[in-house]
Amino acid sequence: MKSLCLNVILLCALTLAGWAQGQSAEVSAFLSSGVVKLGAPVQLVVVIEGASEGRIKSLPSVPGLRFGGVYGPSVQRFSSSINGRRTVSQKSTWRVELEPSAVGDYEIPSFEVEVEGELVLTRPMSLRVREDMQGAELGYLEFNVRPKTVVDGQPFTVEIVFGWDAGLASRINHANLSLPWWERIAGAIEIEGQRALAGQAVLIDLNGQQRIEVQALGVQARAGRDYQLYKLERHYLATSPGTIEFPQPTLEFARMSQGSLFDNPRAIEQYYKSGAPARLDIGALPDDGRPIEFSGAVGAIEAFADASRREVDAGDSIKVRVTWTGDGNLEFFRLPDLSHAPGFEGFRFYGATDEEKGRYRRVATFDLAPQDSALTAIPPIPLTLFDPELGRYRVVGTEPIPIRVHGLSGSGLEDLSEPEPVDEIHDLMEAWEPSAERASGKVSVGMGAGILGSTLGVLCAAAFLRPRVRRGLDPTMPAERRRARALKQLGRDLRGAPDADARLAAFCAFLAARTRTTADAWHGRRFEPGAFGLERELAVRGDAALDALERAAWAAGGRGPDDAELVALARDLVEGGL
Amino acid sequence: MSGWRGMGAALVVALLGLLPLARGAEDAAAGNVEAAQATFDEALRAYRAGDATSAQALFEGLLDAELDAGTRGPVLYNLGNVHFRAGRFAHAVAAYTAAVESLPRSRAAWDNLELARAKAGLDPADRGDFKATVQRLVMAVRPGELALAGWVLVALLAGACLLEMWRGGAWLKTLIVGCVALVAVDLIWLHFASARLAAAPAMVVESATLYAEPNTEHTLGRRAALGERVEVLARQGERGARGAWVKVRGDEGTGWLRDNELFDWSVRTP
Repeated sequence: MKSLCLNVILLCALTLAGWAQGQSAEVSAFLSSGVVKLGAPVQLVVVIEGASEGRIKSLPSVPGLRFGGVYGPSVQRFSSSINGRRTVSQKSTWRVELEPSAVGDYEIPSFEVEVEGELVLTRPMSLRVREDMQGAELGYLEFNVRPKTVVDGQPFTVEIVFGWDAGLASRINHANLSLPWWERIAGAIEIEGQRALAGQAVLIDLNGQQRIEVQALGVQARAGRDYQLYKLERHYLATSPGTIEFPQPTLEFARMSQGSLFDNPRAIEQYYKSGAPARLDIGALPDDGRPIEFSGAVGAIEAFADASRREVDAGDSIKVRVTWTGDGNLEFFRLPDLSHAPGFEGFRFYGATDEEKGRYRRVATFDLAPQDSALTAIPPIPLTLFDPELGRYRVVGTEPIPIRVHGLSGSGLEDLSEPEPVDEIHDLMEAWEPSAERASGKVSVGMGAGILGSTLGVLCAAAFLRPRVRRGLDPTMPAERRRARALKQLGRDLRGAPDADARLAAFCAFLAARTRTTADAWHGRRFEPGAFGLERELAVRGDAALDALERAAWAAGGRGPDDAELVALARDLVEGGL
Repeated sequence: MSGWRGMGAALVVALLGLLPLARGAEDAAAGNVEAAQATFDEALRAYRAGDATSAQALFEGLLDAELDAGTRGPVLYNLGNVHFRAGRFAHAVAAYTAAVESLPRSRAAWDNLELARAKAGLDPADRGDFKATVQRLVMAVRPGELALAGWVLVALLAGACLLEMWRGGAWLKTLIVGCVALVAVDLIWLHFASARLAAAPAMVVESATLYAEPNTEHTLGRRAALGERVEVLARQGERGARGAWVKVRGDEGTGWLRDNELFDWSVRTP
């Protein structure tokens, strides 16, 4: 912030005073410290003075020394006036982080810096990296890769146990693990399945860039000394044969000040502890003796099975739940195909589905249907794997599961099952069935055309004849049919009527159908004289019937006129013109 | 009116004149059937007597005769049995395949076909999946039966139309629509069944090299696979004759192969 303010002020001054040239460029390169503890930060600083443009063209390569990020340039401009003469200078600074991998002396050779188009060589430098003796004594760092040798496809575990002297536990409030291989391991991929952290989880820094959760192990004794310990564990799957080199890890633990608005936190007490590098050899899966059924499973795996039911009818489905556990690539192998597995000839295999896929456990359900009542057990479900401990392929099977299968004899469902495979052909056909059907399909195509033509012909003829035929028919026929239909419906309704209400409703519905009104319109209505062309006597009979029905409907218990009387009246009404 | 009568009389005379011709054709057909029946019986006897060569020749000879589907099916089936017993499983597969097309509901023909395919190292004809099931369902009814059903539906349609003219009514109209719909389904089914019967009526019985011309000098560098259905496009030489060539169209395109590498059950046209 200060530098920025200064730059702004100077820039303003320069703007007012004008730019003055006249100084030759100078390049200097130096280390922030010539002697450092292993794991402590160290920087290479490159400064160009007296030039407006410049850059680091290339950085040297030093075995065991990693050049990290390059920060900069930060630019400072200065203006001065001596005896009335104004002088302006510029200073550009780059900082490069260095990460020594081990204790030792490192020679950093000259490297090129480009200054206003010209190449300038820096001077060589020396960096001495020493172990932090105090940190080595107070810290603990154990780095393990298990197992030491694996085969392609086999999982392995990387475990880092670290900590510091239990006496320091109350003071240490900062830890950073440097694991150069963390981001990417060539020849392996990380797999899921970190077991739930047994102890308290703690967040620490990793490679100074990210935070990571580690498991607090508490105070434990190591080599006769008590340490406050933590553990970081990750699982990987070897994906190609070869060797993986893990550079040595470094633990930084410190007591940091709290810091404030104007002051960054700083180390009050700081220690470094280095661990030993590790190496993992990955072998190839042997081709000799590899079975065709090899599922891709590698490791020490065990299998258990259980069936959804033990007593079934032939053809019924049984769900067999198989659980594989152990240290192996459980998430990655192919499920066994039981359709061709030995022992499963009497079963129909409908497929298998995964229920659970984890680092230490895999569960799948196999759908099987026994086809024969003679079957007494579900055979072992085989998984062909490579056992690294034995160094050969082997088959891991589940225990046989006893079952009882009932036949379908006499149930009439026998024909639904698949026919038994016959090993012998059926005898000759001696039946001779001459028919009118020709053997080739082309004749049938002609016949299809004939059917289509006939259909269209029938429809066209019907469309042509229908109006003419219907014109020639008795025009009163539809009305007659409607009358007959109304009488028939009345008879049906009366037969199904349970009480007087329903009988009244049926008769009103009949009258409504014949007068093109609604049934409700006839409740309480009477035949008007001369209406519908009815004679007076018929109208009176109709009114009397309606009266009787309504009385019966409103007075509980009565039924009103008989069904036969009502039907006879309805017929008379229809014949009378209704 | 007299003109109509004259025309009617002429039509009757003409029909009477055609009667002897029609009767002659019927007699000829009846004669052919009798001859074919005799050959069929003779082939059966030869087979029972253990003379497979004669049985094969007689059954193959029957394929050259004008046979209907009901007769052709047993001939092909029995020919398949002859090939199976002789260990020519690919030939048996071809014969049984042709037989199930003529006798689609014959359990024996299907069983023998699947067994022969297994012996020949081929996948099952009916894999049991959805597509195979639909295909088998479509093929379960022969085109002749579909045609008969179609004619019955046309008659029903005509009756429904006549009744509807006189009586009217919703249910008769529904019946007419239903008949038309069923006729349409029947025609579509007939089309697919006929097309399937007519398509690729030959099968490769030996994995064969395809040639550009009917000689062994110009190979196409492609092979017709064992059990592949092909369509016969042209022939050079008599069917079954030594040195005869057949031009086919299959999965690998068009090319020539030797006649003895093919089992052709297409209907022989005289």
